Amino acid sequence: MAHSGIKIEGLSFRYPDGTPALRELSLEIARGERVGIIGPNGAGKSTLLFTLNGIYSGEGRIEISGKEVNERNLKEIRRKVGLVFQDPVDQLFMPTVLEDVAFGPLNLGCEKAEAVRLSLEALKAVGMENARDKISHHLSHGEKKRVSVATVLSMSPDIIALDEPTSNLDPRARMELLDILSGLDKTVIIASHDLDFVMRLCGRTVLLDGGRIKAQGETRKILSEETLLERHGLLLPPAIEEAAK
Amino acid sequence: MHHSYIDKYSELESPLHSLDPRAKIIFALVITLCIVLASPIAYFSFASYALLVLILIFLSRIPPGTLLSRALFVVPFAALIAFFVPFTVGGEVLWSFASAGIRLTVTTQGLILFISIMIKSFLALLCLAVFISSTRYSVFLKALGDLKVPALFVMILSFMYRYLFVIVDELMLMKAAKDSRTVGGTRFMHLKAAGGLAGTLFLRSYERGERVYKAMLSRGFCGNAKTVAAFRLKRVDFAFSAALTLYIAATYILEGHHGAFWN
Repeated sequence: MAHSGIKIEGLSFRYPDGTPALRELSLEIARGERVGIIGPNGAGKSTLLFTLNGIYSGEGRIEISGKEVNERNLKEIRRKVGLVFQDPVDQLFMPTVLEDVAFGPLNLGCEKAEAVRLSLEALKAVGMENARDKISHHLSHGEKKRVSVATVLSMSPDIIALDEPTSNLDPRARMELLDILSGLDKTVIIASHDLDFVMRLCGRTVLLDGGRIKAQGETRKILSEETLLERHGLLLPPAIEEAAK
Repeated sequence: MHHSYIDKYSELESPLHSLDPRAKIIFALVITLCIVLASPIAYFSFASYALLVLILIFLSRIPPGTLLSRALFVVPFAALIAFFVPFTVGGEVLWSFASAGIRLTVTTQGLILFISIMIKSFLALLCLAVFISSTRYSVFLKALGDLKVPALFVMILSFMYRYLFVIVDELMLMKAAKDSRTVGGTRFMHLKAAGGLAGTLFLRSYERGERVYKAMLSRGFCGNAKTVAAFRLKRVDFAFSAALTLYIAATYILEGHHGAFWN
């Protein structure tokens, strides 16, 4: 039977200069699941996200909702997997907010009116509908992040993958983002070393280091293993440390 | 950081601001062409177009000083290009200089041509400045697309606008970082640091470009740039277009013909 979530089998990836980033990685994520991918800098978290929608292609096999990621399926895969980049300045490249959010739907072949409708819906979902004609350079970092999420929501993806979503966010913006993401009825994947954020959002956590999965399981369980975390350059989240005292 | 230099006056409300951007682009081009193609001794035309530009400035409600400085900014480049004209155009010798095998002559025709080039470039730039300053840049880009300017070209302009300020921000941060570490020192040291800064800025922009392209691909980009823009022509746009066309035609007819300048 076709897998309705994500299925990764024996995925390896090397950068053009030969540095290995992912080694023989296998992982399954069910539809609607929220998974945190944690690990130190350079563990391969971002690379893994980039392979999900075929921006990087390595050896091995990736299936998204039963479709293999390959040259032929790229367009469909990129509709199914919405990638939110770490730096919203990279994600928001159009002159105005609305044009940015409509960029995806238009590329998928939507009519203008339909693209605008989908975009306004997506902007509303992140509470940014009043910014439609603003210039993204003039938004705050938190607002840019929310618009970034809207740029992929407008494409109605099955999966949303976010790379370091909380970097540079102030606590309020971080909480707003948490609310938005936990309200989504989609598969959500978060690559982050903000363990507190992962704990609040994700049911399952995968620990990545050196391009390999070192541990995976229920988030609370993984995030309570102090020695495991420290061995891979991470620290116990404050909430768990408190509870242990 | 906020840099609103380009869009500083584009949010004013004025008759010129509310015009259809496509009409503005077309007329900016038409007026510029008329100014540029006028005969160097068509003094009446110069005066007439100057008056037209003044009217446009008045209609736009943009501070004239700002427009003047925007236009003057480009004039030195025109002057540099036109610099040799007085020496190279043949005609009645006005002044000559000969020494050590170098011979320079300035002709009346050459001088007139030089002055007319300066007047033309200044008027044309002022005209472009008033049209551009009264249009929001994003709207200007949409209008270009509507006027069938190739999408790739519009996209390049759009990215330039989007990332210019990002790069300026990065440069200012890097400069602050450099200044906080290079206190005192020789001029040479500072120059060396500035060189490194330029290189780093180039690398960063290059990498940023790659990331942006990945972000575009992720959202289904496959070579065709599309936007959701749409405009509708209003009655006032037709009235404005008709008035401008009449003005230009009247200037042309009243000026008559100058066949004599080029002999």
